[in-house]
Amino acid sequence: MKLQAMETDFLIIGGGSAGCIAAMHALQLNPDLNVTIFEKSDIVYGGSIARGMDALNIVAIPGQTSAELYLESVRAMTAGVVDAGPSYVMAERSYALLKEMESWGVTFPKDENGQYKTLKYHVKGKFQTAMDEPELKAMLVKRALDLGTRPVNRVMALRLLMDNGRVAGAVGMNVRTGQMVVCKAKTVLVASGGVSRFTLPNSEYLYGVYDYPGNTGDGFVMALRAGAGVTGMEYTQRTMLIKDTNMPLLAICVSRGGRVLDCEGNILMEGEVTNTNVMNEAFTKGRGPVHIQLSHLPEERIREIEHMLFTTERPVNERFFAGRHIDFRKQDIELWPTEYYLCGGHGLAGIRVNERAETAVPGLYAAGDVASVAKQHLTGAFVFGEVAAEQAVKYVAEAPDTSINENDVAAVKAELDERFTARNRDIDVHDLERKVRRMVADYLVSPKNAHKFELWKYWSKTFREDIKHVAVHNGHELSKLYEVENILLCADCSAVAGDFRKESRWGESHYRSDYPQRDDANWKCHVVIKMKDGKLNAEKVRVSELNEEVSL
Amino acid sequence: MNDSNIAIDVSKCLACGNCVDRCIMDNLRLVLPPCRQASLLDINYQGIFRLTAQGKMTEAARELRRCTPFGGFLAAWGDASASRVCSRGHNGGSLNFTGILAYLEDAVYGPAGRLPRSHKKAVVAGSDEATLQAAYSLRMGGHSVTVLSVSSCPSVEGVPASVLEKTMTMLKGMDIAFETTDAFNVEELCKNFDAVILTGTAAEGMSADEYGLVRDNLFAVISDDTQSPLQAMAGAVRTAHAARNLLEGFSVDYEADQRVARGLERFHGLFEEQEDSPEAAPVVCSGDGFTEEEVKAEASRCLGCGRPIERNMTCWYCLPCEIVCPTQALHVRIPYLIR
Repeated sequence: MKLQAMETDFLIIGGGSAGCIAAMHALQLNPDLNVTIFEKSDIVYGGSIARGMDALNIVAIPGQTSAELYLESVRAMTAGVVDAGPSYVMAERSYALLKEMESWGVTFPKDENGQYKTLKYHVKGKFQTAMDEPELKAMLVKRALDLGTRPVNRVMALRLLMDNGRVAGAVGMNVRTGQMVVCKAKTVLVASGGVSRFTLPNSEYLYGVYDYPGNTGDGFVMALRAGAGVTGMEYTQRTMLIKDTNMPLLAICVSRGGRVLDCEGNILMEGEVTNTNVMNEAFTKGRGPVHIQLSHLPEERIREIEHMLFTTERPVNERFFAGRHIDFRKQDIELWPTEYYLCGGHGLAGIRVNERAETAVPGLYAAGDVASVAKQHLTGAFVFGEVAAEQAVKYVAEAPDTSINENDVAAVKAELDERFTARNRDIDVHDLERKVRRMVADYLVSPKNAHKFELWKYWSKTFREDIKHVAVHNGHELSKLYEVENILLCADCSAVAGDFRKESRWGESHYRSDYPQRDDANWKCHVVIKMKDGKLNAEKVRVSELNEEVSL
Repeated sequence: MNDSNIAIDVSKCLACGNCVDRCIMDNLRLVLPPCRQASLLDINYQGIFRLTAQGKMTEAARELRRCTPFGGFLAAWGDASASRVCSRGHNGGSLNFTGILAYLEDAVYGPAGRLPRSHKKAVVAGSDEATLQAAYSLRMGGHSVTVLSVSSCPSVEGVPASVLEKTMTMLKGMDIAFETTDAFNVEELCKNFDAVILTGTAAEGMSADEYGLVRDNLFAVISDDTQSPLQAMAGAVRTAHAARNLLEGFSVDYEADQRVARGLERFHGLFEEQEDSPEAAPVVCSGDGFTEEEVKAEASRCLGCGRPIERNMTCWYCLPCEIVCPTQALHVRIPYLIR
């Protein structure tokens, strides 16, 4: 099949929250800029928020909270492993973001005193600000398209292209036709989400995961191969959510008066999401499953919760609870641990960025769940989408033209063609994915130890061989194969980082049975992975303070 | 008829494909009804007929306009290739496509929807139906379009003057500029415009590749006398697609395989409940054309052969497909493993 060749000033990989706001903001700053978005699905609802959200998770409202207080809070929640600059910038810009979103028509409910409704989610300060906007994503997309963004739907980016150390574009493939798309660009923003499909969920349904299942670490892989660093890959996290659907509701229920109970009826949390680790602990110690109780709340409050759950965030909740005959007035909601996943939005995993959204590669930016702004949530995706756009606009104005190395393109094409046209292969791509994710759960999540990491190495090698025997019948299956390959490399990063960090930290997210103690003297630092000659190397990088450059 | 994760009420489905377009897991495909599969202009007759049967004439006309602004031409010519394959053919006789289109013809003229933003300029030279089709297809990309005709205004054979006039008014209302000239120089056009499409006699003697590309930014819709007007228009659609690719920064062949790219699949055959539909003979026109009752009765004979299907079993039960369905014909069931 022929190559599709195109050119742009600013290429954005991933049309989710971060990508779309970056496109919009770049065109506001320079209406003549050519902005292109590669979106693996369809841009209107693509990405982790899909439709709407119940809250803007981090807003430092002047007079109530501050960026300084947020910094304290996020330091506590990351056990000190967080760069101050990016988190501070995010909190500092969060109120302006809220005001901007209001100007789009997004509803932020206020109380009787005219104050924004804030909820406690962080250890310090009420940063979570209620929002009621079921069509948030579509609103944002419309604004980006109206300004002239060029969306290229159903195209999954595979590799970044380089020109003497700086980024020069990307190669992607159309997930339906399998056609390869080459885009030359002066600057690139990777905003393609975390790794949602990392281990298998309880339901064993491949796509029954908490975070958007289109996110398979594509951005981590591209950035690594281009020379950028990734960090926090040992932060293998899971959360407690609705049993089997893994849909979110904890903050929505608990911050409105819901109680979290263990199986003996002990109250673990009430009114505030203070410490999610107590739920995990109860569960692993055999006092699970834990439940959310709402039946003690007044009818009006239950209706408010139902409204949030059934309209704004995942409306399918209503169907699910009806199907299981659960009425919040009578029954509790059973919570179980979700699958493990890697994500900068909720955890620490991400491409290393500084407060300007820059990566170690000139001209390459990262934002959203794929970037390492710890626990940034939607606020971080939006703020750093805007930050990246500001930097990209400047970079385009100053940087000379790039050129694409034809040999690099030819190498990707040869591999793609080989996978697409080969016959007589017998491994089903879904089976491969299932097995990879099962082994990740077996060897790479807590309790971790050196022996497990050693055993993973065998499987990592074996799966790379298995990839050569996967049968591909259409563009969709070809894209699935690339996705599994990306999950595999992210798993390798997690293995290398997890093995390297010889201590335990962050509760269940990194517990090593062979190094069960937290060791601040040696390990209150980042573990950064870079790729050199196809090999992954881990190194310690110290945590940076405010007004200090983040080492990329 | 139920798939595991999506249930389609085939009696309501318009086969419009909104759900397929919006699915964020690339899970769905649209099985084309045979009429649309055979239609040279990719007309969604199922959607048009279903809406007509419900008496929603404005919506039916809007669905027709969404597919083509040349509904008036179709009403005059008929769409033989589409009506020939109608599944009712084995069950009482094909629907009267021409009659229904003629009934809707008055309501088909209207403004274009929101167009993308573009600074690019294109010119289409010629004066027949392919010219108009190419101009319209380019305009849908948001580009400014000029139609250049030698010595006379565009004319279309077999179409009443009133229909042509209304169609021309609509195209002008979409900001397509019409100019006449004594002669033009192709080289000049190529210099002054970002894309040039030659059609009809203007394209005579040209040789172009399979996408209609002659060279650089010059395209030609090559037609010959054996082609029907609809075939010539289909050629114009293909060439305009290639020219739009050029204007929008893609290579000319991008998504040339439009059906795969848009998630459209060939018709697999009728579903059981459709095969069991009671036989219904075509409604006979009492006068020159259908009355409202007659057209509703005739349109309601449509079996609704097209529908979305779950192709990849990747449902994340996120519901955009359901929300964008204009008739609530699609219901997401939660996958069994999750339910």
